[in-house]
Amino acid sequence: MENNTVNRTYLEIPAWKRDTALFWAYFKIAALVVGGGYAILAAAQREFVTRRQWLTEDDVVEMVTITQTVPGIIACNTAAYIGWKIDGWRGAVSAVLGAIFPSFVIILLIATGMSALSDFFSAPATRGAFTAVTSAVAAMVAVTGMKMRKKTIKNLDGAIIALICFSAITFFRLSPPVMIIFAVVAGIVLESVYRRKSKTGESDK
Amino acid sequence: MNPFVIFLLFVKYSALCFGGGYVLIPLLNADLVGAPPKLLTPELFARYISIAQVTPGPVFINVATFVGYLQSGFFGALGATLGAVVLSAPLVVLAIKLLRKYESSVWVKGFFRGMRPASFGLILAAAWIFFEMSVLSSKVPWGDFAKIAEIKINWAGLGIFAGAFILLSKTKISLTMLLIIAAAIGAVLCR
Repeated sequence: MENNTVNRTYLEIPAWKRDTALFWAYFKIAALVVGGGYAILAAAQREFVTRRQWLTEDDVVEMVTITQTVPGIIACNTAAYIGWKIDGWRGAVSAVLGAIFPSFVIILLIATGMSALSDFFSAPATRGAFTAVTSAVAAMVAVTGMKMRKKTIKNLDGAIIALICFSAITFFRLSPPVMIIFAVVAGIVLESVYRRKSKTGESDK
Repeated sequence: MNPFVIFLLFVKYSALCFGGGYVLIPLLNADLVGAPPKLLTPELFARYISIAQVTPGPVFINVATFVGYLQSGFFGALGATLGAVVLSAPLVVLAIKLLRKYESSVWVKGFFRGMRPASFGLILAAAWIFFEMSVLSSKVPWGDFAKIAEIKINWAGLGIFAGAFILLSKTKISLTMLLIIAAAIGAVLCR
């Protein structure tokens, strides 16, 4: 597992500024990005790799794999991951708090009787906005996905696993958790098989 | 219910949340609608879930805040919301450290060998699902060609998708800006 240590430019920024940036970045992402875990993953990649260059593409791949397999809300798991990388526990807390803040405030307002707010979110114009944002998010997730190709598909069995997962979700409408279990099991089986075949014990990547 | 108890309840839910918040909805349904003290009717439950889906933020956080508030006001909401997220950082950090520590083991190498390509497939599948949800009039009924021919395209959505795709791959446009512009266009064109 590579760990590119180049370009950790964020270390030059004082810790409190990093924490504030993490909080606000996740605040904005949580407030605007619709679609759940994968959308947040793509948004985080865009913000922290493409835009700020605080993380590398390898980090993103590691993040994508860990946040899906660790229990919990994927959005908050990504916040914890990125926050941790940028500023340890403080960073993780800042990012997670940013991620839950918009929800907390808006839902409280609705629950305490701001039915106007609830009506706003159900209005046709808002639904139209929602649909449009989902289209933009589709594009964002596609772009992020394509950027991951080189780092994730390294051999034939990888390509096959990717194809199986894609087809299962798209054509057969299976759920991601099922495919995740399949992929982890398949990966471990493949790895053991390759290890037995190879005399030096070096796995074939 | 005591806010601390609500906190623990949502910690439990978050530990069971695997693969997205939606998987927890049946569990919440059973606990809140099915079991005593039958806090919510099915209609109310459905209404809150739908509000949780159209409001910003992760669905499960929205649900937690709602349910926490219903049970015990502001502190219930706080307890539930914090409970839902408090395990994220410890578990993620634990995962990072374990994967580093055992990185040459067959388990870890195997894990990545499977999860890396799976992530690629899953992310592209997610992109397709979002596209299907926003640009097509219904889910594609694969294999049923007659029905496929009937699917209508939301042209504004398609345009936004294409425009966003180009902007995101060729420029460093701020995501916030892009989403706000998309929302503005959609509020008018995508009704």
